[in-house]
Amino acid sequence: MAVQIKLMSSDQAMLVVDKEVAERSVLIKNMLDDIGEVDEAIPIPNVNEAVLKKVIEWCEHHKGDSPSTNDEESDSRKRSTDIEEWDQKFMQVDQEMLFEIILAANYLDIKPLLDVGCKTVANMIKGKSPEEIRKTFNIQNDFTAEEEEQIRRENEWAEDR
Amino acid sequence: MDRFKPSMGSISRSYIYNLPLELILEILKQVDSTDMIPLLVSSRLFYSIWSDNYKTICRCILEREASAAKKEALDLLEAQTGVCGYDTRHQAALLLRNCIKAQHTLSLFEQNIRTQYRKPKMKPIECDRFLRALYRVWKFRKIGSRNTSYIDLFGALELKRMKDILRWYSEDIMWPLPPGGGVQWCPYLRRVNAALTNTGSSIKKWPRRKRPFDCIDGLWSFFDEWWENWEDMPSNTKEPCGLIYAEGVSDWYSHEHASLCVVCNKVYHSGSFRLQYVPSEYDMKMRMPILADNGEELARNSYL
Repeated sequence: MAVQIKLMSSDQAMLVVDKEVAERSVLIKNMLDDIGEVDEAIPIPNVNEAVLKKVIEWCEHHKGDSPSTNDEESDSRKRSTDIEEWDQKFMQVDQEMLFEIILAANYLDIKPLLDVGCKTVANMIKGKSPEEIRKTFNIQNDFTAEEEEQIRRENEWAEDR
Repeated sequence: MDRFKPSMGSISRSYIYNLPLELILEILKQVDSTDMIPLLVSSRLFYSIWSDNYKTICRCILEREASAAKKEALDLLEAQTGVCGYDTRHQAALLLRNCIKAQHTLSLFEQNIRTQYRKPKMKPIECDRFLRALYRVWKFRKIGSRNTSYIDLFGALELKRMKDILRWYSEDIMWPLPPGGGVQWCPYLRRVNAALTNTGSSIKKWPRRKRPFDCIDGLWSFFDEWWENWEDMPSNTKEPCGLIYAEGVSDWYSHEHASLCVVCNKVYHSGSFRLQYVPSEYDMKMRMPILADNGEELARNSYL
């Protein structure tokens, strides 16, 4: 039988997961390596129950994946849209949950989940105008028209020297 | 972060502008070049992160979008700015612009060949080959058509790919002309053609694979199918070693593509044939020049 550990969310919910699943998180893995097996629940103070359940769902699906490497070259050929079908469905959540997952993935140090989250946001930007991006992310336009024009000129059609 | 307040009426507590800056940077690193400018213009938040991290962001764009053409992209940038690398905002902006233009051109090419020649979606390796040749063509244009020492460095295969792009530019697309006139590609095409002829060895030395006749595949040297016309050429689907190996093969080429028809066992030379539509196999057999093994012309296309 697989070794199980307990995780305590920020809203005091206790979740029991396989150690192998929890160790997709580098933070938890390092913690378990340091303190050994414990009966007490490991506190995850920055992540609430709903988000922690989503993160565990992702970890369970990806528990057999090979460990991610830091070699950026290995992933360099992938476009932003290259998200696995399961991950795409997994990320079909409202924006609040999406950003919470990104924050949790960052806190728990789950790089592949963080990448999927960031790619999902990048895909939400794809093909949109500045106004559509503002609308999508509920952002105010804090540029003056002149500033906006200047940035366009500066970046898009910079003249060759 | 006060200046990045949400607009009125929002109810969600998690917003993109509430993420730590390092996480927004992670998102920017995943954004495609073509989406970067609208994003930077949408908010001061994104623009300030770009301004502080343009080198990191450009490196990610380059790795993701130019991958196998990274060297060529940097070579072009150096030709444009006179300086190696993208340390300044101007250089980074220029690199970004080049990436955007390259992606647009690739997209236009793919759209063009899919609608006109009914080709399937290009494989990543085929896109890489296209982009490498494209950046080389742009660099050649930047340094001027008279500066042939640049193209003299390339082998026949690399020149063939440059030629394919130049021919596509000058023949197959109605290239949108900016005010004051567009780029005249013909001088560049002539120079590449001349360089290509100088490198060539007799194509008859190369064993041809018997396969159903498909002239269209042979016209674009970016495609895997093009490789399969030769018995001893690798199909070259592995990257990046395959590409490097393949591009090192240069002593094979002479003039235009030819292939052996498995049906009639004749060599079909494409010559300067211009395809503007997708002919049937019957059409092709009837219209292409048909040569006997001794090179004698047996039949000729009516409109060549």
